[in-house]
Amino acid sequence: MNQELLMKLSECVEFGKINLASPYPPTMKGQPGADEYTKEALEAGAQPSEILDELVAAMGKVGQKFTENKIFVPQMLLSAKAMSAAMAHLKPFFASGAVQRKGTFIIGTVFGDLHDIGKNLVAMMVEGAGWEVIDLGIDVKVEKFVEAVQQHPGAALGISALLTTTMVNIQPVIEAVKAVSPDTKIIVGGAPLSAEFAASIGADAYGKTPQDDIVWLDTLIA
Amino acid sequence: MQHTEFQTYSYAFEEVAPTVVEICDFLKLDPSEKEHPGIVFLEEILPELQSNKYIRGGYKILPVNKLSITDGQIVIADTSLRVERQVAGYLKGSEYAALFLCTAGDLFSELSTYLNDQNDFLEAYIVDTIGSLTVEKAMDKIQAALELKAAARGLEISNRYSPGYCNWHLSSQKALFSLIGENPSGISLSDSCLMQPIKSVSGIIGIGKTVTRKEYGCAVCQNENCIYRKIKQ
Repeated sequence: MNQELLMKLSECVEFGKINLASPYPPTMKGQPGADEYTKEALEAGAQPSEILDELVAAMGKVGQKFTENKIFVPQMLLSAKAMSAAMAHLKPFFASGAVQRKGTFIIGTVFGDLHDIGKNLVAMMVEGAGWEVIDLGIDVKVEKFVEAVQQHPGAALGISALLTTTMVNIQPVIEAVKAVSPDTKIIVGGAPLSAEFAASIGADAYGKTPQDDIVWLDTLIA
Repeated sequence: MQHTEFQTYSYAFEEVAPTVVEICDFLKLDPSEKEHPGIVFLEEILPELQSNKYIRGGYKILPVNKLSITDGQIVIADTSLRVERQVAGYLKGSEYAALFLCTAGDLFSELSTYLNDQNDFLEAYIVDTIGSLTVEKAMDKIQAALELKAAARGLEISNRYSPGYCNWHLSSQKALFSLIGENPSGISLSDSCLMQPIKSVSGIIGIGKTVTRKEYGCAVCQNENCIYRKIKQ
């Protein structure tokens, strides 16, 4: 019973079926969505951690499809919303400690840059992968990154930039963070960046897609 | 050709609104998929945005005293503006420079933030996209008006170029805004040289007898998410 519910929940997240009222996707119209299936699974005795694992796997499929250009941003955002509807039921279990996050991921768009779509997608997907995400927003100053890293010891950091003229602002952030917290692992991303550029400015990794971030984060806890 | 006063243009949303097809192209949504939440939302939100009358922009035209492609500098009204080599090259032949500003106001960003806070991520993304396309369409109209004025005097205009793009550093915004001076756009600069409202554009258009329109550097630029690349497509 639980397994069947979890499979249905997984499908809802993968295809962006949020709740019973949402008419999309048309093939799932009139059926319960991620909201109802999560509630039902909990009532049927499924462990919150089992549900989270299912959600993480579903978002993994979404991320992979996005990486392969099989889906685009709108579909990904619908999946993120379905995920969010399911996670709302799990929040009390995170608070009580019954379900553990994999770790903490701090993310922000570098100062001088106000682009947030890519950063938001990474934040949603990483959260969907089981991490606690601290989103610092856009146009984030060096001091704010440093402060966040100090407030969350052991957290990994993601820095984003969308312009060739602002990607150069990432290096001062990395230098300042590593100066106060040498062990903090940092991944950078954004359209004009490359793995070579990431290495040249002292980043630990480069994420071309949200899925790259998730795969890299998982190596940190392996 | 010189206009030391800022020439202002104001538009209602309906005059510069992107079409459903244009928005869908940008979002990679199929407009015929009528039940898709993105399409449903678009049909709902576009009429509601009609109330946005605050789309405003314009330009000031000043003489170009000197243009050095090697140094990546242009001297306008005795003030030096560092635009870097790429943009300086594109402005070759400019006798005048139209320094422009345009904003779609706060509405789009405020609504997008509100929707994101409600976990309506897709709807927030759509509103943000409409705001970006709207300010560019308004600027297209302003640029077209400038082109007509220039043509009447036998002059050509260049494409428009903005700080932050084509290697033109954002820190130049301060000099650009200083040259533009008093204007009714209501756009202000943060200490990171970002514009407020967020849905605003600024930059330069070269004017001269031998100025030529160039293809944007999309073929060599890696920024696949750039709004200008999307518009060019």
